[in-house]
Amino acid sequence: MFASFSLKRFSLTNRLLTTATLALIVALSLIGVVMDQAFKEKTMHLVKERLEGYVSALISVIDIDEKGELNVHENLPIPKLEQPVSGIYAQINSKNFNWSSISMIGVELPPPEKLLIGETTFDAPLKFQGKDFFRMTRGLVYDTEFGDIKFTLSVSEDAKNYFRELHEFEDHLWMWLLLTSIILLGIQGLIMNWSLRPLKRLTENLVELEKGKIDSVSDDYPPELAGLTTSLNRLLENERDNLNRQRKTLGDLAHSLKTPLAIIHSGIENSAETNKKLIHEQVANMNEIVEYQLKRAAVAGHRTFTVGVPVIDKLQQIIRTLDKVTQNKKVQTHLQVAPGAEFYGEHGDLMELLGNLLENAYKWCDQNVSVTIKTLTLLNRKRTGLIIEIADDGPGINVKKRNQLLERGVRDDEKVKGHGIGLSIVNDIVESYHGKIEIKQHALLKGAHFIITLPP
Amino acid sequence: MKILLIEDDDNLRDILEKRLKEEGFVVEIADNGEEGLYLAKEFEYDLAIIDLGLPKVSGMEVIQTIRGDDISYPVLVLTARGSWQDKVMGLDAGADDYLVKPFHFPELLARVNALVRRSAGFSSPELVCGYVTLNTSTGEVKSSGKLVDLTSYEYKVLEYLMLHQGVVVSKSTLTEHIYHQDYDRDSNVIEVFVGRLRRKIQSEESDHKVIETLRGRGYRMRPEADNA
Repeated sequence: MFASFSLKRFSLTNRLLTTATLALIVALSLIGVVMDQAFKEKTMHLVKERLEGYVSALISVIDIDEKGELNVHENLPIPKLEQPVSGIYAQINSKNFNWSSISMIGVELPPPEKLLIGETTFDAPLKFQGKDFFRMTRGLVYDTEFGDIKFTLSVSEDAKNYFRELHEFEDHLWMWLLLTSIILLGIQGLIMNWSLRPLKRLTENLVELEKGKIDSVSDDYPPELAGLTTSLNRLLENERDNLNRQRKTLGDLAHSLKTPLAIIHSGIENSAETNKKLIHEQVANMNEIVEYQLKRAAVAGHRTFTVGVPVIDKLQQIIRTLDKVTQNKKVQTHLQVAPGAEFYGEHGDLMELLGNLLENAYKWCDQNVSVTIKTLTLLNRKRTGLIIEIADDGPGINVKKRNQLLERGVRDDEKVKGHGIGLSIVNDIVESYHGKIEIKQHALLKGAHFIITLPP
Repeated sequence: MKILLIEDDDNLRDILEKRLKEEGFVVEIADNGEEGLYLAKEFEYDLAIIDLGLPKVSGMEVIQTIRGDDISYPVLVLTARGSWQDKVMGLDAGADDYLVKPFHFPELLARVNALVRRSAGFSSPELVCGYVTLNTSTGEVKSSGKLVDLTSYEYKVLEYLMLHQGVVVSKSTLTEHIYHQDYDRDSNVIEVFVGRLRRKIQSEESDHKVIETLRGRGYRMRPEADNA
């Protein structure tokens, strides 16, 4: 069995280290090779120039004696040619003249090749008896009264120094490159450690979160991670809210069913007729409780990740529906919806919100219902919130009842009758989106005026 | 009035059928969408009550299909969930009203009466034809302002004719919409009913007969006599 290796699970540190190391190796190797090559070319060029200089200098000390033979002056311009085994060697060869410098005593070099007049060769290097030489050879001619004298002049240099210098340079070069690599990798490691530290901290945070030591991730993260942590915190908050609401719904359901059950229970001794009425009432009551709590449980609540629902679409659907079922009343609706207004949440919640409020407005209005929807923008939030205003020209709601209607935590068995369970559901939805709801009297229509603010 | 009831819950369907029949409606039932759709397309009704959650073919599909076939009698939707999404979808599909379960029967009855009336073009519960008025919510019939005492079958015949004013209603149509299937459909019985009804609602102040007989074709109710 082979452990499956997936690149996807390769740690970020390893990814960065591997790629950085590879990049470094490639870059430094290239630098090394290029520098080595440049050094070789440069030094070879110097050798060649030097040998060319020697050749030119030697030409100046050659002349023709009275016999018409080649002759080399006593005083050579290059002292090294007169020191034995100095590393610089000169040879002059013609048909019947063979000269070699004093420095060549005890040194063996192959005879230079015969070259045509004006021809120059450069051997780099010339291998002879296990030694390396650089040799410059030139074919020359002396135009004398005795006729043309052709000869070959060659200057050789022992390549030992050159190779020693080259090796020294290469040793230094690679050593420094290696040292640079180590330093750079060290710095890279430090950078990585520093920049990945927030991620490590986040991981630790998450572990603590899982253990229940903290209930949200701290918010002091670099901007690249702040988006993630903010979303994460909001998600956690949503989950908590949802859980709390479900718990509350369940608790409320159980509690509120207890009252009618107790009433039925206590009425067991009653006469059959009284009982029938009592049970009828209580069953109706229980029905309403169950309906309300079921609807409440269905409220999705604020969502962190959601696409915007165009408000106008849902609003028009609901108005179309209400117009159809209340044909006799001929209600006039006046809509004012901000273009592009979107609801960020479960579209079912939006429909319940608008549906219940509009149903009440249609029920209580005389003839007119007005709906105004504006968008709400907050700094540093990409989403927009909504301000929903629904008003009618009906009798309105008196101040005392307004507060009762909006009181939070009023259990449904205590809730205000008349507005049905619709408004309680609206209240729950608004709360679950961290919004607020106000009831006023509409300035123009004089009826109830509901103002709902849903923050972004 | 002939009602098609499509509901898969046996208890609810039986109760509704019984109560609607007690109220004088002719009720035909189906316990799934497929059968319901067949009945809805084959026969003529004055109203359909359709549950949204049906086996085989959903209530929504039934409504869409019959509306697609240009069947225009009113449809009342029953929904268990009662969410606005359901209501909007049902009404958009072509239903005319909705009722959330559980409901009280009087509520259903009021909606049914209102829908039937509305589809006949009356917006108030009071139907008027010349000197005859019929209040669908109180069940009172008046002729020139005087209360008229009718039997339930007479009432049903009158209501049907008043809802279809100006239209020739054949005896067989009348029989179908007023009597249950198992009833002996003797056209003489209808003639007797209509004859008695005519006498009862005839105004003393007018000679005009609001129910006219078109020989071999049926009956037609008209508020005023033709000038011709």
